[in-house]
Amino acid sequence: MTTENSTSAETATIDLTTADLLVVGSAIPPEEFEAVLANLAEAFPDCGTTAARSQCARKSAHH
Amino acid sequence: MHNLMANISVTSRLAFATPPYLDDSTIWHHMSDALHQSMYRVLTLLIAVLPGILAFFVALTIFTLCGMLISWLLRRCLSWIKFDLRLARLSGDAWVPSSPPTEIVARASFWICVLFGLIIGVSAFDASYATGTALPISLLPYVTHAVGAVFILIAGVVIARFLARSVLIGAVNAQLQYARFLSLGVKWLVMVLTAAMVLDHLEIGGNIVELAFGILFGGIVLTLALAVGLGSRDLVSRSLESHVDRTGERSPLPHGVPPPAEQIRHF
Amino acid sequence: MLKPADFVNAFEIAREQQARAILMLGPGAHSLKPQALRELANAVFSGSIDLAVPRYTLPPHSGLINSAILYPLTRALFATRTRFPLTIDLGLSIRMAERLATVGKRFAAANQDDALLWPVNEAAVAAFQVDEVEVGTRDVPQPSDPDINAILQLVTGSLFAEIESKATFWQRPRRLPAPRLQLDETLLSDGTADVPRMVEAFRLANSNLQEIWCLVLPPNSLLALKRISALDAGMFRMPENLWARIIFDFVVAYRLRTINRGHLLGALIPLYLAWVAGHLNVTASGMPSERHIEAVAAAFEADKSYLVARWRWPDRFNS
Repeated sequence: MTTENSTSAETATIDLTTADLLVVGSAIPPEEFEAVLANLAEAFPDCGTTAARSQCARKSAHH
Repeated sequence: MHNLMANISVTSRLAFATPPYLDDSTIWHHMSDALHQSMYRVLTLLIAVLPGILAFFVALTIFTLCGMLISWLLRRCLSWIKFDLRLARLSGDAWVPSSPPTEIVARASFWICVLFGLIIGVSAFDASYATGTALPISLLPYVTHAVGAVFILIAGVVIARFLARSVLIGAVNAQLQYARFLSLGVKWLVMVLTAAMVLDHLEIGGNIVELAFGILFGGIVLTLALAVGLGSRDLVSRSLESHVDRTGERSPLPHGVPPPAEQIRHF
Repeated sequence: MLKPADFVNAFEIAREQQARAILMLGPGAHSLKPQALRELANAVFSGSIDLAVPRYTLPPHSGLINSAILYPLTRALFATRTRFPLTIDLGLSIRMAERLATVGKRFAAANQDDALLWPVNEAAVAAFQVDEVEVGTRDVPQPSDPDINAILQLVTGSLFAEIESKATFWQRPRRLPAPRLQLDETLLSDGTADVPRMVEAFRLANSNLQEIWCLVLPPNSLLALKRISALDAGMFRMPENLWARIIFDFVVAYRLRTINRGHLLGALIPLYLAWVAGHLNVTASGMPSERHIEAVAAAFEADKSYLVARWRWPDRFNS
């Protein structure tokens, strides 16, 4: 399982292995993100989890 | 001496009689002359201008017919080359017009032809009017001013109705009791402004119109300001209460007082 | 709410990682129980379900826009019993994610970065399988500026536009699937404190907005509104079929652009408040809230033919 949290439209390139289930968090504050990861780990105890939080650049205004 | 007195009295009697150049038949003769001459001038002007009027309608009719023909040809050609489909592929979903692009192009070409015909017709009318009169006055600038004034009037009416409706709905949703009054005030503000602009554009009235507009506009604004200021006390207090609720500055309820009813959440 | 870019990014990442399913979570997802997360994921992981939509247990008198408009309209037109058609948590299969990403790209290309996507409607049109999963309670984040005017216009306007774009789909008769999840028969606490204010707002609108409502609503609806405006706040109630027809008339007016769309949605707000006032009175009288909402949704289904007829022949006010 892979977890992503993005705070804006673009996503940085992340080097990850393949995963069966992708969990995408949208605009989840950092303090809640850890709790979500903990809940996911409890929900899927038999799965390996790779988590990444990407700091994404905001879209420039002239787009 | 006696003859001299007689001559003087005859002369004086003659002096007090009607002068020979002011008798009735001469007056009527001159009046009819003046009327005939003015009728002749007007008829001459009309005859001079008539070709221009005819040219205006002929130009407009010809170009309208040309516009219809061009519009039909464009519609057929663009449908044959599948213009709508090609344009949709190129632009994707960036631009989704309410009418098919072929229809837009056909209609635009028609109205361009009509406009062209109008310009040529007015120009022909203006030329014949200028040569037909002795005065170096061209009608064209006034016609353009009149057309501009009509556009200003139409735009003003549309904007007034839009703003009036926006204010009415906004004020009703803000639960202001004087919503309709506010809406009418805004509408009349815009209408007064539009009327002043139209009259100014037509160069009618001059300073009187400016003064009257200033007085009227200022009066309406003052009335609205008083109405809003005096009537919005409830709205301001409600707005302050909701702000206090949001920032959590409300003091805790005293012991024994039941908590308020469940908060309604629309979303 | 989930933005178009979220769906585009999710699909791109899923494709890179060759994921079989996607679980999308919005703000407040930490309040979801682990069991709920597992069930959402398992629903799409099984392979037979393309879209897993959570069914929340919300606090009393919450999600009223959804109860009044979104759920009944979606149920009647798209033949789906999803209680919350616009959620911030979703389970997606890859083909569902691809479809939503395509829609998302269309919005992004049109510079509509804050547009709302309607996954349930997209799944219905694509004949994908939709399932609802009980997830229990959840902290639903409230907008920073809880202005009912702005929220209602945004959400309802988006749904009306969605209905307009999918007209060829919902005009055909469709069978509604049988209910799978049990109705929540919990009686709610009294929320009638706000009813007098809402009824007053409706009465003010009834006396001031007639010139706008008469452009949208037929005479018999206007007469019915006039009758209910005379009711006391304690007895106030908006009949279900009247509410259904009002919403359908507003959908038609949205499509025809009878008046400016912003004005149209603004004129809907007092009518919505009237429905809320009636709903609060009904639940205070002892009827479970969900039962009343089901009755409203059933009225929408029953009057769907009215919408279809008005959509096709908009100039005739059917009785």
